Amino acid sequence: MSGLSHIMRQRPFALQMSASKVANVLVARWASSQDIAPMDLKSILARPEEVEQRNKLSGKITVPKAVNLSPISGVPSDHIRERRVRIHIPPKNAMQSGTDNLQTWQIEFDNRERWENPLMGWTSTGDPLSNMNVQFGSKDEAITYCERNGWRWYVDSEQTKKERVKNYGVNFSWNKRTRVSTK
Amino acid sequence: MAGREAIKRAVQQVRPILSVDREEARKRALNLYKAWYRQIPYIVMDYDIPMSVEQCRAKLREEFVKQRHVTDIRVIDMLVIKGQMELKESVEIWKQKGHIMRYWKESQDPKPTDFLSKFIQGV
Repeated sequence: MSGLSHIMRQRPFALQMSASKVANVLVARWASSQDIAPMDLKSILARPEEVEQRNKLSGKITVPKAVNLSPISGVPSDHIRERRVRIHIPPKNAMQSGTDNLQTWQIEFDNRERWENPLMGWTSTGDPLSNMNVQFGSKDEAITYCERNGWRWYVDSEQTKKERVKNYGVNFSWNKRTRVSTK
Repeated sequence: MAGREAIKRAVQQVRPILSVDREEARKRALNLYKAWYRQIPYIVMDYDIPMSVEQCRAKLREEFVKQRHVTDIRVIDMLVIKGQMELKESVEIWKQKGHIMRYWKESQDPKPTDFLSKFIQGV
């Protein structure tokens, strides 16, 4: 106990009251075997203004659902005013690839200047958004993302896949000309 | 797109960042402005920039007026937090002269606005 009072003597006066409270709690804990609820040291030592601020911030405020994050997103203002976003589903590879990864919606920015790098002949661009590849589960999510960031957008028309029967045997159906007699 | 129009008008309940109402957010923004305003003479002296205190104060006002249209309380709070960080960086001399001078964009060529000069510059 002498150690604790030594610490208390070194503290400023404003903290002494709450510090003695802590000491009481600690003594009570040592004195009885009965378990008491653990107390948060921060909440005990908090000043009344801090408690008030914390209570205020634990509530909720009402804001419009449409949020414009462009002032704090860090994107340069001319890239917000002048860019237009195309929202689309990426097309299928024209080769014999599957269609498994073509369910998501993507956003794509309009093209900016590109040039051939004189040193290596590689293509360079000064556009930071040209390689941004963000995928979305639905069209509405992509639209919401663009509107939150303040970009103009348009949805590219959805390509519907034509269903066709893939069955080798159908080629030899009774009404197909392919079914010819061998005689 | 009737659904999207409805979203524009709708409101939602969210956790606040710093302020709970517009008045408090406004007070925070004004406090930040005052803090910058008072620090500008020291910043000009410490960084030894070729700008006068009046020019710096005009730039400060310009930077604040640029965000005048912001109405969302949380966005205002985030802007205040960012401004506070910038102020701290400036006052503690964590920045360099060039970082302060960047506010005036002297080394950047102004972007062309009319069609022909845009075409010539390839923008």
